[in-house]
Amino acid sequence: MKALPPLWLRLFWRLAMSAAAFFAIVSLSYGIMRAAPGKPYEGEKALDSVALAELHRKYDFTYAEYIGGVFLRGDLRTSYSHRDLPVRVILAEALPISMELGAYALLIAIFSGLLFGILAAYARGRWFETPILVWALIGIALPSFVFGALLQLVFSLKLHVLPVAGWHGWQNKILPVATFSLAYTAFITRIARGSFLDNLSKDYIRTARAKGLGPTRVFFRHLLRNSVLPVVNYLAPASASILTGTLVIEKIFNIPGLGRWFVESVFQRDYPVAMGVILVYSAFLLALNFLADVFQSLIDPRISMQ
Amino acid sequence: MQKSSRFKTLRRFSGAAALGALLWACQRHDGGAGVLRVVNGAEPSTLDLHLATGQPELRILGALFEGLLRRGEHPGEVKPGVAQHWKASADGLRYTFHLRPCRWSDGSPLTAGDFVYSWRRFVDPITASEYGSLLKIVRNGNPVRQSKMPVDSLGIHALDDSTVMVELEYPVSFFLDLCAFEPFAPVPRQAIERYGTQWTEPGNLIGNGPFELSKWERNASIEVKRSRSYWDVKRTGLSAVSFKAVEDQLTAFNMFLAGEADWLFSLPPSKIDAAKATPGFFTGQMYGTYYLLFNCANKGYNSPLLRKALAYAIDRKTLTERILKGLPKPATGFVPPTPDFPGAGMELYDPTKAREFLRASGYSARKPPEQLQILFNNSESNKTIAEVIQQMWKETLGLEAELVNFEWKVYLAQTKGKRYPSVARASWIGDFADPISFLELGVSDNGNNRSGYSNPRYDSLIARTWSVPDPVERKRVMAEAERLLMEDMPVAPIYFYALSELRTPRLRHATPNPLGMYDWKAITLE
Amino acid sequence: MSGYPKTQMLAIRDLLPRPPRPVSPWRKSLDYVRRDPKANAGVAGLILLVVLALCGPWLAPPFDRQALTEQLLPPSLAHLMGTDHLGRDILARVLYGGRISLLIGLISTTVSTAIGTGYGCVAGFFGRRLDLAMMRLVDILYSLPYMFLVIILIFLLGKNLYALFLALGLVQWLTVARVVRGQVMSLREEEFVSAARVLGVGNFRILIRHILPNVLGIVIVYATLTVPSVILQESFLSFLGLNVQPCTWGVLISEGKEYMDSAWWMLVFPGGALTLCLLCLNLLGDSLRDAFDPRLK
Repeated sequence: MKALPPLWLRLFWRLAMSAAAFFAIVSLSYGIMRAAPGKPYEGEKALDSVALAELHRKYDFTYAEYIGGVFLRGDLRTSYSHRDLPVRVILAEALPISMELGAYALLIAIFSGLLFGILAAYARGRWFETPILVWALIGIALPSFVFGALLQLVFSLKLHVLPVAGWHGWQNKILPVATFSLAYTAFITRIARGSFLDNLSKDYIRTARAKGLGPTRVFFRHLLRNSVLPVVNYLAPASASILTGTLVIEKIFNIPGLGRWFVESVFQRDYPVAMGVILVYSAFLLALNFLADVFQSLIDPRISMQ
Repeated sequence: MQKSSRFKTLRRFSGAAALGALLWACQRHDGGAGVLRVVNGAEPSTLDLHLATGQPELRILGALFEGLLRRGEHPGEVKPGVAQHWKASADGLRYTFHLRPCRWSDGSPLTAGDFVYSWRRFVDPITASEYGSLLKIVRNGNPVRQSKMPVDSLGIHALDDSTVMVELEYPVSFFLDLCAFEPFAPVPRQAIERYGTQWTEPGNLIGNGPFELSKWERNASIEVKRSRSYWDVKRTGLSAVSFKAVEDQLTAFNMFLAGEADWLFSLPPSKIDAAKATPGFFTGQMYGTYYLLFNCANKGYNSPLLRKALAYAIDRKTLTERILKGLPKPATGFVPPTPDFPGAGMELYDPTKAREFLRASGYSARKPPEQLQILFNNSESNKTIAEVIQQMWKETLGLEAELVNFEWKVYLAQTKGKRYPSVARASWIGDFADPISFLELGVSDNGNNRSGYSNPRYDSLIARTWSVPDPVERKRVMAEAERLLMEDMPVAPIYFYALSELRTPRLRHATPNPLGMYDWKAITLE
Repeated sequence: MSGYPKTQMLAIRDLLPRPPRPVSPWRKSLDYVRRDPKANAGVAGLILLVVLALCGPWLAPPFDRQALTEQLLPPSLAHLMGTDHLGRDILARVLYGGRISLLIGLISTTVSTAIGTGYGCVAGFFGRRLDLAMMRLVDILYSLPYMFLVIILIFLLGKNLYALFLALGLVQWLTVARVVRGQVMSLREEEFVSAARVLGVGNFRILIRHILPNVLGIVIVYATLTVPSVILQESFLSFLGLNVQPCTWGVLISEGKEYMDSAWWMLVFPGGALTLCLLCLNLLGDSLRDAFDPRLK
């Protein structure tokens, strides 16, 4: 086998690649947004040509100006439809909310997914295996906007125990997080179950049992540790998907996150905002992928970072 | 108490859930007595008086600012605002307003100069205000707007610190109505000069209205609280108002049912029946028309016969009753009911006439007009209405129409540029209670004429309304113009808008003016 | 957006270094699927749905015929699934919507699977620099906030079916490309490929005749799992107001949600049809995956 180049060089390459990708994404989204029909200054009432010209003079920017602004000064410009509101302010306000929503949903999904997965694995051949599996399948097949609406109907309108919408106290967060985590819980349940079943039949478990280890010890020291790996592998794509998956949830529960800004800005042809959102998400996803790769190659240098 | 018994039953099921409910119930009432939580629709795009266009913005601005006058509850009535009293000259071309001593929310005095500064900023093409065209009735308004004259030649003058004199281009009485319209209120020069474009942020924004801005959480809510420096603070009924930005109508409706909002200004079509059974249901007049545009420049649609065939085939009564649950009234002309204005008062549904017009136009089911489609901007109710009209055309005329939907900005580009092939949905809400705000749309060179309709006789009739000083004669000319418009049918009116609201029973003194707007000062909560 | 995470990713890592394939994997796998009750249930359900959707025009009145005197009628003999807010027959709409939704699922999946397979084959077979460059591109595309791109693409291309096929297809091929590439890389080292090469068979021919048939199994597995994901994504787009067709399952569910508490049949039947369809596809997909890839239960 050929000797690998030093780690720092590979890291450098990987970083350069990510930067290039970032640049490509920004350029691509700029091009698409500009090519889409509809004009940002098109208001409901007629504007004078002088006034319109003034708007163009004040707010138009070229690709070079945008790129220059982004990379040299970190300037994401200002919104068109929310006139003069800096995109940076929008991102700073809305990103943490979307991240919080995503993080909770992911945490819930991991814990309940593992729990159900283990349960389903132990339930193999017993009566409650089927309900869990059916639920896991329905969780994947039920659109979140239907599930969310059902939760609202039951918990807010019938039982009056949780608020319908908003993002103030923790009470507001229960329903959106539950809705959001459903599909991911279902996925993790299935993965965890498969992995546990695999490991339950492995020799080392039998050996451990034969050695006279108690069931708790076998479970935590051997089974859990080995079975959790596929779930961990699933986390990188899941967190990426969760991060950008807030569009629907934010609409149903009226949460002031980035997804709502994005949908509105695309509808309104508010290029600076739409691009700002894409930019932030791309940067985040690229960073996530980069870290995952670095992590992997540190653990196992054989996985070359090609 | 009611709540504690609910907790007991809950605890039986699950301790955790009950604990959650308890904690939530403690936090539930954000505010306290006198705080009104209204669902305000879309997130306001700006709080700059001169850049705001939509209802959500104007509602909040009505609480934060006060113009020379305030709107009364009765049609055409105005009440003193910043101006204590006012006088019109005999020819109706010059108005003198005497201001009361009053202050901005930062404590500085509000003077006549503030109004001069504001109206100049309003008309200035650099500001690019969409409502700026309303200032064409003020002397030199139009040339200033087109940069043909300097901004200071606008016909508004500060005679001294407490006297404003306005010269008009036309002797129109609705000028006083406009003085009560939000964009004509003063903007704070001191804040604009200090903070530039950021003057509308909380902390920077200085107002002169009954309320002042206290919090702005974007895409969540804007909160205003009673302003201590307002001249009539004793009569401000509410201690605070929270304007919630909720775009999804269903979510808003659910929030009302769950007690998270006190007032909804619009209802999802699917819930009108349910809402009608609620004690808080309220309906009233609104000054707007929902209509179809015909592209008068295109082949086939340039013929009034085809346009009338399509217009007369729409069963407006069925549509308003079955789909809109009888809230809006079927249109009988283009101008919504206006006090002292007769209106066209026509029955616009007549299948026999429709078929005759179609035959006369030379088209038929076998030889259909080219590219018959209904273009609309994406919304659930627009879609439903278009689907119903599509079916009516098919049944009455045998014509198949295609439905095309676009998002708002593309829709605007298509209709404003007259690039739609045949028919497009449209609506217009009057900015002041005068028929001219509707009739103007048919004038050949009007910027908001999106049908491409051009009739010299119509143009000259509308031109006359501007110069006739006698109000009765003016109304008569306008009525003639409307009849002519219905004869040529460049637009097919469908229905007149109506308010459909849900309100908490604790709400008092919430009487809409003829435009469907509210006076926040008067409203109280029990 | 989703709710429909890319589980497939999990597969890739496990797949990369693979033991040589046993002989006649096809036959063995198909036997497995044929004996699997889950797969049988899935196939039966799918056949039922497809037949109903295709026969829709003969089973029910036109999907857009309104009867404003028959609004929101509950299910009855005249209207087996009730009527909607315009008095249209829900059954007719569910059947018609199913046709469009299934079409969207099938075509987008075909587009993405074809692109992904071709891409993965080329990258895996030629390897080295080309593979490096091609896979790096896939990595980059993976970092795109793809639902956001779908939305922008639909705006750019206009709201029509082709735009949707393209937009969904363009973002779905990445996983297939990765999986196929991994497969091809291991197949490349197999004896039968070396043998063919020794015999002087050209690269292209080797790819088509020897490699492609061997990766087809895994391709079918992923295609089966992509269809439900695409159908679900279309329903999300409809919910956000970006529907490209007036009547799909997604549109019906969005409409039905509005009437959830007053006319449950408007939500339950389209929602049930969609859930059933996704369920069947997932059952079949799972079984196929177990069959072609026993390591991934």
